[in-house]
Amino acid sequence: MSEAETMSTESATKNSELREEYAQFVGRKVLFIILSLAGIAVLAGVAATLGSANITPVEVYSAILARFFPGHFATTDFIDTIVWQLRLHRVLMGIFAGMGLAVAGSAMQGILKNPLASPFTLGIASAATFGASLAIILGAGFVSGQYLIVGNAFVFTMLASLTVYGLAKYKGITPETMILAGIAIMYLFSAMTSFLQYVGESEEVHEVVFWMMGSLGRSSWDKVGIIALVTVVCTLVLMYFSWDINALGAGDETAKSLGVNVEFVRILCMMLASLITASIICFTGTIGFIGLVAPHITRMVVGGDHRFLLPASGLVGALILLGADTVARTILAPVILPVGIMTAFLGVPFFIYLFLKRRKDYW
Amino acid sequence: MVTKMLWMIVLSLLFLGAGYATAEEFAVPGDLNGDRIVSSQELETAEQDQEAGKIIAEELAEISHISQNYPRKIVDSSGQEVTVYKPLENIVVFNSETVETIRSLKAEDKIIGVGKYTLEDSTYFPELSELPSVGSVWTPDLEAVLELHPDAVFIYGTFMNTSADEIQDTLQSADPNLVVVRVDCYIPESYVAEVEMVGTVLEREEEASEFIEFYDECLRPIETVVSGLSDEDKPTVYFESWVDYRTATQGAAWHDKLVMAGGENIFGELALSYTDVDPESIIERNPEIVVKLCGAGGLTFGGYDEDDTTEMAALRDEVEARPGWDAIDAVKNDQVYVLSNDILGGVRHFIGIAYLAKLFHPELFEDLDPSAMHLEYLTRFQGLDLRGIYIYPEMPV
Repeated sequence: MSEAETMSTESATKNSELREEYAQFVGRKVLFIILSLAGIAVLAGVAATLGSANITPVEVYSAILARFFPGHFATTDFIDTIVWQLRLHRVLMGIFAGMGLAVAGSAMQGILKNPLASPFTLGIASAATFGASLAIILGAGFVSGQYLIVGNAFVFTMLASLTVYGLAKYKGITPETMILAGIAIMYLFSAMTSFLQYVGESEEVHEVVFWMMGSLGRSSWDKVGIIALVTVVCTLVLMYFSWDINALGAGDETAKSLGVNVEFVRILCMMLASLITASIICFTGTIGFIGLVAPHITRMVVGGDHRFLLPASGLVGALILLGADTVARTILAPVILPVGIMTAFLGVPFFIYLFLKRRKDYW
Repeated sequence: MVTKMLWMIVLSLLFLGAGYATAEEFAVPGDLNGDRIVSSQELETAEQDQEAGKIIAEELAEISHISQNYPRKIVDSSGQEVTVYKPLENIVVFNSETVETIRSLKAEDKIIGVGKYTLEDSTYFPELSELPSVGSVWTPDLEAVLELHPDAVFIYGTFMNTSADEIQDTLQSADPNLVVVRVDCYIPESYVAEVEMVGTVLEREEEASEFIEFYDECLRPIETVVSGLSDEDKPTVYFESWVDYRTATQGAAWHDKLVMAGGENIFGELALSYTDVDPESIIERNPEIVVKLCGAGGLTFGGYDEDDTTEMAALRDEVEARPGWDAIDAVKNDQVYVLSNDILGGVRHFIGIAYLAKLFHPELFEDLDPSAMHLEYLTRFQGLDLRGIYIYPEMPV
């Protein structure tokens, strides 16, 4: 056997070992995703049975199944209304809103190569809060009627991301320019909100504070539909670009040499993340914590490959928000706490636990 | 350089002079020894001065009035002792509830400056809408207050205490003679006492007792009937602010008013003042009456100057059509009411309580006529000719 042949056999063995190891790693990621999905299903199943109304879990499930298999399951109008009109859309809202915020967060962290990035770093939360405050305190906005607050929050959110884009475009679209432009925008909108609170009446200021804490209480089937559609479509598009986002992680030069249109990918992903965030927080108020922490929790487990990171962190986000809302609804029942408070109460200890347990630098 | 310094000296002397002039202005007429009290001796001196032609008859009359009626002392709602040494002719009022009370006591001509919320409400305070603004308790314009040289300033007694204390300290350090009276004028339990305080410091005792008599006539019959009710006689009530599913519980003024009117708040036991509740729990607790408030937040309709019930009716329909609400007794029996905040908050709480009492116990309060009460209050005490829609649907009288 010649020397060359020996080497090729050796490298072949090494290759197959590597392949095996990689397959195991992929298997772990897939397992994590499956477990998260199962977790969401269980949690949703539990959440649907919790509430002030005196309904047994069996009655809840018959009410759910009765819609799919009429005739096979019996339910009453009352139970049907409670389950379908009051509980289920809120549960789904928690799932899709949590998913959307987490996906947007991990996309932002990926394209900006910054562990502190989230749509909120780019001034989105403060822009949305300003839009809502404008509607609450001055009654002014782009659309009128019951969608005044929602419309304002959405428009100002998109306005903020376009401004960030404009500023970054002028200076060259790098992570640094985008973060700096975002922080500038964030302070500007915060100052404007503070000004509105300064001139507003106490009841209105109270209202703004409630809005800033975030709540799933304003959910309805229509809103769930909008949020689910935007989140799912944008997530699929982001996943289509996940190889490009991965390449960005190796540096702009490397990504360019691999044929990635760096600026295009960065802008597209930023806009998609902003769109997801805007369409969620305009209905829920600012729920800031999930977009930052869900991607980190997920990254500790599945690593930085965005093909897996994006969907997996979406599932983790859904778990956190649904869990937080379920606790917020039940812990002081019949009082409903703002979910924004609960996400931090539940998520932070878990995050700190993972953070302390994993010694190696996961980022 | 020298000229500049000279100018500065001249200017500072001018300011000092101005300072002395103001201090002089606030001195008590007829007081010679500087204790701000006109003793009988000092009054005699004034009488001699008048005979000698040093002062005119009006001045003597003023001195003798002060000698007989001052000083006046009250303990205001913040617990501070307030001493008034001479008639308060020019007053600045921060809170519009106190402005309304002063108007009930026919002393609104003494007001020379008001808070911004009084100015913004030109429907209710039309004659005051030209007065200078002193800002609000949150953002006071203290320079504006001092520039008006008032004898007294009225600020909230227990509400926004830190801010009100700061306003008081700053104003009194700038002008030690300034009288500061701290009254809320919107809390049912303390309202009668506060009307008396305001009556005392403004020399409007008669007007104050006249108003208190009217106020008592409105509330006492309700109190008497309600105190005789057992818990089973009280209807269960769900009260909702202008925000969906936000209710008032123990510790909230709305809850107290609801209880005074003889209702049982279905969320009364929660001790969180104002909070969001689980929509299901309302259905579960099945209230007999639902009261939805309008006139603020996103529901700026109803109340004074409203002549159209369309929006209030639409709101009522919207509330009744909420998912699952067809199971609630209040909806089944058409007991969902939209009430304007114009008559439930502030001084007019007693009107709102009367409306609620009649809603809760129509058979017990057959003779009670809240709208006549309201009308009398507006015409006799407020000098207003206002029309409006305060409740929907209209209650039978």
